[in-house]
Amino acid sequence: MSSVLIIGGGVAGIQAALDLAEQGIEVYLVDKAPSVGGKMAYLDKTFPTLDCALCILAPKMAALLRYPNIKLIMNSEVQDVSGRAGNFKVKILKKPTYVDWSKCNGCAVCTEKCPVKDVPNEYNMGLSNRRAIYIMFPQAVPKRAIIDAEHCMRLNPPPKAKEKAKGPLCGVCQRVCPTKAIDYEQKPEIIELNVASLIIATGMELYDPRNMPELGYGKHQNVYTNLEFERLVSATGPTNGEIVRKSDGKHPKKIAWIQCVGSRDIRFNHYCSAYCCMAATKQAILAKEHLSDVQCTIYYMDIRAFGKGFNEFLERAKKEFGINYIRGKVVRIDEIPETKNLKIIYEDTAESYLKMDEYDMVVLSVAITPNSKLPVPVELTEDGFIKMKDPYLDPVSTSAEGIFVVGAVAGAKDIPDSVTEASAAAARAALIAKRFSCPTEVVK
Amino acid sequence: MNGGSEFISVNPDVNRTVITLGGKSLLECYQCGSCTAVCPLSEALDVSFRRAIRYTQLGVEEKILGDISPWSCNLHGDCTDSCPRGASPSEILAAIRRYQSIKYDWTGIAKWWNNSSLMAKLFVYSALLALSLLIFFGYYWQKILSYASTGKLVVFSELLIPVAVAFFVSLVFLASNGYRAYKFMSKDKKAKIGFIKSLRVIASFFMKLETEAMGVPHKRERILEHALILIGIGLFILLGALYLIYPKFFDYEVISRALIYSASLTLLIGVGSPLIKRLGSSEKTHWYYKRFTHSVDWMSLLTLFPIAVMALLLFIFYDLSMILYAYIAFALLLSFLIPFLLLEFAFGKHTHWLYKVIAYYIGARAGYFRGE
Repeated sequence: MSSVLIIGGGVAGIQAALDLAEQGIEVYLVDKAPSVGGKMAYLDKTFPTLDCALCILAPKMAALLRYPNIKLIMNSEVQDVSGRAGNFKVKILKKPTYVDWSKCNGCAVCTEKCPVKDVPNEYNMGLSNRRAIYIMFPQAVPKRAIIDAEHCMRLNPPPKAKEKAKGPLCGVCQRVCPTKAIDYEQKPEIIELNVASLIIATGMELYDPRNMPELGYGKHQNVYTNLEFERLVSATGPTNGEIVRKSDGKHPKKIAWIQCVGSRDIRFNHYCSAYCCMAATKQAILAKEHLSDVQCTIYYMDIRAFGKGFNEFLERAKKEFGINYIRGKVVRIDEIPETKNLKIIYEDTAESYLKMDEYDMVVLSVAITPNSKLPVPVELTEDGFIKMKDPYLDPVSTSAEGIFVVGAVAGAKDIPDSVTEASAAAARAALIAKRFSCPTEVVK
Repeated sequence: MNGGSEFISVNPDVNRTVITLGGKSLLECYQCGSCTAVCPLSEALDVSFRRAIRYTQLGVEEKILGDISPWSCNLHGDCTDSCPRGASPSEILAAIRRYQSIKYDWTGIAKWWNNSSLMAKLFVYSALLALSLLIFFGYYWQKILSYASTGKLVVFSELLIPVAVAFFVSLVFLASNGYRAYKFMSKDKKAKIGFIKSLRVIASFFMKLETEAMGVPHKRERILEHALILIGIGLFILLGALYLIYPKFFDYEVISRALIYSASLTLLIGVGSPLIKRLGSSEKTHWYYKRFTHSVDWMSLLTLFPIAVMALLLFIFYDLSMILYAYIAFALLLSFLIPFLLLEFAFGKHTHWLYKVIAYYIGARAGYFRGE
């Protein structure tokens, strides 16, 4: 039986890996992060059911470890793909973690003792800090520590301290580790694999709203992206789920969501990002659940509630939670210097004239951009998504035979659609893997 | 707009007409309201440019004709820079203005003027020009020679008669069309403040707006050019009026000479600058300066240009004591004035001053201006 490589360990990659492994096929799952989970692991709740995101994702993540035929290659990037269906040769760069993962048991003692305390935490979108040695998030799979070489005192000592010290600096984690897993000498590794088929599940990144300076993101303290807000309301987030303003730590009384930031705009991305209408509705409901007296307003151009249960969710938000919806594109956000409140400027298209409203907090529903810059020989569409062979009848195939694509890297979509595609692609990849049989080997 | 029981008739041809009048990107608009929100006018004026575009897309003729927002637009183009659809709202508004002026005109000449090609317009313009040349260089030629032999530039009223007739005719058209525009625009708008207060509101609005716009380089350029044309024409009208009312003024050589030269020079620069920019336009220039803007825009400059040139030549020749040439330049000036008055001034882009004044007045009276 030959094997399949899945690039990207988000919810789509996980689903595809589980479906393939269940059929007895050998699966390699590569992710550039130290844990699987992808963007879904950042979310607090999912729409339209308001289920806890990690509560439904974590069992799937954990299931990956139960299959002996799933190999997780974390903290790694695919460097080169050659060959054709049935026999792809893949070169993967495994970046050093400086922790021997075969020994590490995820006890997290090192992450409590590490003296470097001010590294922005990527998992919390930089809203909180972590140590230089860290576990990505409490539910991480595999739950293993990793040293951030850039901030580590030992691996990248500050120049002044380096001159003074005679021997190597720090070394606290090495001393405290009960399993002696810390290995400062670890080097990058190249892993070469032979696989029958590939599934691209690299997903998306958020579009940088700094490209729209008039919205003041990065300049005005109380303007957040929607993923930052998601972390803010999450119990595992920087404030343990308390919604507070960055400027003064107070609860906001009025929050605005601004839709289509970078989407449906030919200056940035012309496509609709598909998830933001429902995500903003969900976040407004979450804000209401956290702070009962908060006023939530969503500024939209069109509400696209097309999925199952979406429209009912929207109606619930309006009637049950009293979320306001105002049709108009916000063109500018000004900060009021004294209060750090935000003044937003737009045309209320129902009343047909310019309006200015003041808010304590503004959340930007930013566009998504595909993670499609890969050394994989597949064609892209004009907007950078991976081209589907036939968007109607063969939506998971790419221009190259034996390479399949799932999730947001093929087009903006939500979790249910990504998972559906993942199962479809797993079935297609299994067909190829079963047709061909070639030996696999790991060369150091 | 807000009444649920209101019935509105829709003319599906309107959007096609407006597209051919220069609003190429009309159907691109998806009604986000960015144009209204970024426009420096919106803060002071309760209008929605997006709504004007929406009415046009739908073809709600009655609402389009009564809308003052296209006339309040100054074509500065902030909206075009921030349109998420890559459309050009200011260009669309200019096209809606053309559509409105076609409908305000009862003669049908404005319709022809706005719809015909540049060549057709130039042809008719040249025909009228030929006719007036025939008048001045045929009928009046002997008179001009005899005036020239006196060695003095004394303009006898007789030469001015054809121009005065043309001016009067164009004023009749303008007045009647202006009245129609007033009727269309003032419908459904209740007067809230008085005449004097309206004027004050408009004045303070303009002061604020122009000071703001002068801070932006590309806007400053447009404002200065427009101001030069406006001042140039204004000075010529002043000179004409002085000649009729108080001809002795021209005995004060220095003052009158300064006035005359500044009038013709301002007009020449004001008209010449955009013409040159249009000829050398590139991809990035503001649509107003592009070579392929609507032919009506071109004609508004092309018809003024020879007048400015001739006015300048007239006095240069006079100061060089080349009296006969001065008279010829004068006759040419008058010949160019006649087709300008009959076509461009009465039906072309220059009518916008009248409709703009009416729109602002109605808007101010109906309380559209905020802050007062």
